[in-house]
Amino acid sequence: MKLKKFQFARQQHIFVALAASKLFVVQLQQRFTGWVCLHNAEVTLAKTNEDLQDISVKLRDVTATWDIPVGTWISWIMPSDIVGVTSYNKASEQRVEIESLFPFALADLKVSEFDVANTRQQVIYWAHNDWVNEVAKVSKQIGWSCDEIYSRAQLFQFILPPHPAEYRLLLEGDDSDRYLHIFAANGTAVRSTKVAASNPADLAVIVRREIGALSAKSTDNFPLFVCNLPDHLLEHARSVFDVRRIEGVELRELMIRLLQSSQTGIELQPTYLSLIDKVNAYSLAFAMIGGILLGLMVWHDGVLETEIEDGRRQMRLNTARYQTAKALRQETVKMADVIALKASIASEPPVFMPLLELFPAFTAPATLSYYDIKGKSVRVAGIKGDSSTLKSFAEKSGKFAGIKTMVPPDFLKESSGVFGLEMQWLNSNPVPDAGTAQKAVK
Amino acid sequence: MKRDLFRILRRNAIKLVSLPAVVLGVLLFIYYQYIDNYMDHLEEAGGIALRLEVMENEFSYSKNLEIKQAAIKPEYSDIRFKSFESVSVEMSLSEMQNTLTSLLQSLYFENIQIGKLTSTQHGYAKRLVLEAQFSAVPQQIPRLESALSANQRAMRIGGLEIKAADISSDGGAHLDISAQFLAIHVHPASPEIPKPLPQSR
Repeated sequence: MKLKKFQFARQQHIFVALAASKLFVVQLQQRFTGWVCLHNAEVTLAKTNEDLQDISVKLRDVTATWDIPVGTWISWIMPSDIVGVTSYNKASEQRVEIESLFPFALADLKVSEFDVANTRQQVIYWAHNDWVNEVAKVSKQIGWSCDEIYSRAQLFQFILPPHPAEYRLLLEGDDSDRYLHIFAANGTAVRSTKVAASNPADLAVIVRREIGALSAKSTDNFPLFVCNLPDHLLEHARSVFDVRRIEGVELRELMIRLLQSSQTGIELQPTYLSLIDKVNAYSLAFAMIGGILLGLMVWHDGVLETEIEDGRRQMRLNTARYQTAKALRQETVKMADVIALKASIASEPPVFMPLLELFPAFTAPATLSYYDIKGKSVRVAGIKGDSSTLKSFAEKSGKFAGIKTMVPPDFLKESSGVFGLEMQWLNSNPVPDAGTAQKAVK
Repeated sequence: MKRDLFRILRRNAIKLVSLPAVVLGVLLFIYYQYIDNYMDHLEEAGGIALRLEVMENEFSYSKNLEIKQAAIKPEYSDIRFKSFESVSVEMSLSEMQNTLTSLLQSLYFENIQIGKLTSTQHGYAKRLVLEAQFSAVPQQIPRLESALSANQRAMRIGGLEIKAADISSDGGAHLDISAQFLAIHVHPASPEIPKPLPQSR
């Protein structure tokens, strides 16, 4: 497979819309966001019978500065007098032989793709081989490759608004060239014709004649959409048809939409071969990258297996030592916790020391009747004495704080001379450093 | 692109998808044939490396631990000798209750009633708490604390309430005492037996 440089370059596409008296050329380029128009030009043709060879000269002149690569695809959009539109319906009740649809022998024509076996209504676009060959020849002379010839009706079918009518009519063109396209309800073109009428009355007659050529169930109420035509041509048509204007139509925008669509015209050369090449090129690139990655994974998998085996062996060797080390750590932490707990218990105030400190204050006849210690909170009560003596004694010792009178406990309430104090014990045992052991294992 | 895709799928889809399908198939075949276990190996190797690192950390840590343990072991041994050592805290509490009852009885305290038995966790160590009520005369009190500390299993009074009652004609009193006794429970072995490491498959 040949990998061409242009397969990865930005692709270009040329559209040429040929009308009786003018030529519209558009240069499109494919970008990441879609197709964009790089250049467009309108060329007025001098004579209506100007042949394609003269047209090719003008086409070459107008695109000389557009930097179009050789071999760029070009699609032609032809009027109805070059590309015909035929509706083909192979329904069982109205079988139509395909040859009878065309005014020339099928061998002399180039037709668009259709399915003979399909019984649904199909549209066939056709052009005489002379035109097709001439178009291909002109394209080649300029250095481009003609891929497809479209009918003008295909270009305008995108702008038709939806309508419930059986057929929709579109009249488009300008002062010099006017075309009537008729579309079925599903949006496909069924007829396309050039309108040669020069006055409004004739225009209306031609439109009615074309409608009459259809096997329509009725001839009324078909909407006539009008695009780009001057108002004075529609004066008579307005009284006969439901005329609706379509504004803001740009040919280059329609060409981009045509290129992005799945519309099939008369195909001269398939353009998808480059797509196959591109997909194959990307596939090979993917295969190379994937192969390298898989190769690296195979190599690394071997490394990992070795690491796993070595690691398991090392773990087996380490297991006994690790269990010993872990047990040592846990035993040491346990020791530290026990030492810390011992220190914590030892740091709590001795329960009898406050009692011994206060006991000398109870001189006869005063008697100590109640002693309670919880943490550092000490409560003392007695009888036959007074709290002021006890309070001054406690204050002088310097080992109590927050000394205040308390309500005597219930069992002393009926006794005489009851007094009581509550206070906080300040002096505590020398506290072993509870954190020392724990720090030792950290 | 869209029209090319439509047409090629309609006419020559095999040309479009054959090479990508072959490439994908070959790559998938290689993957499943040769490196299906790659992710498992990657995960297992990472796990083993992590466990080896944990082991190495433990080894480097243990050198210091041996020194530290040697430093605190004498103090710990002393505490352990005087603590309630059994395989369960319930057994230690029961032993503490028996020891205390015997001790109080040996000091001639009367009306001994053992109340709530609880324990609180302090890391790997446990603090035992026992509440008891008993009666005494004031002369018995000083002997209690010295007897507790002299006991083989050291205990300490954490809270105390003394109520004097029945003051006799000679000024003596009968004391109702509620006390909270504290002690330490030590498990004879390491608290957690290390789990053996997995062997190779």
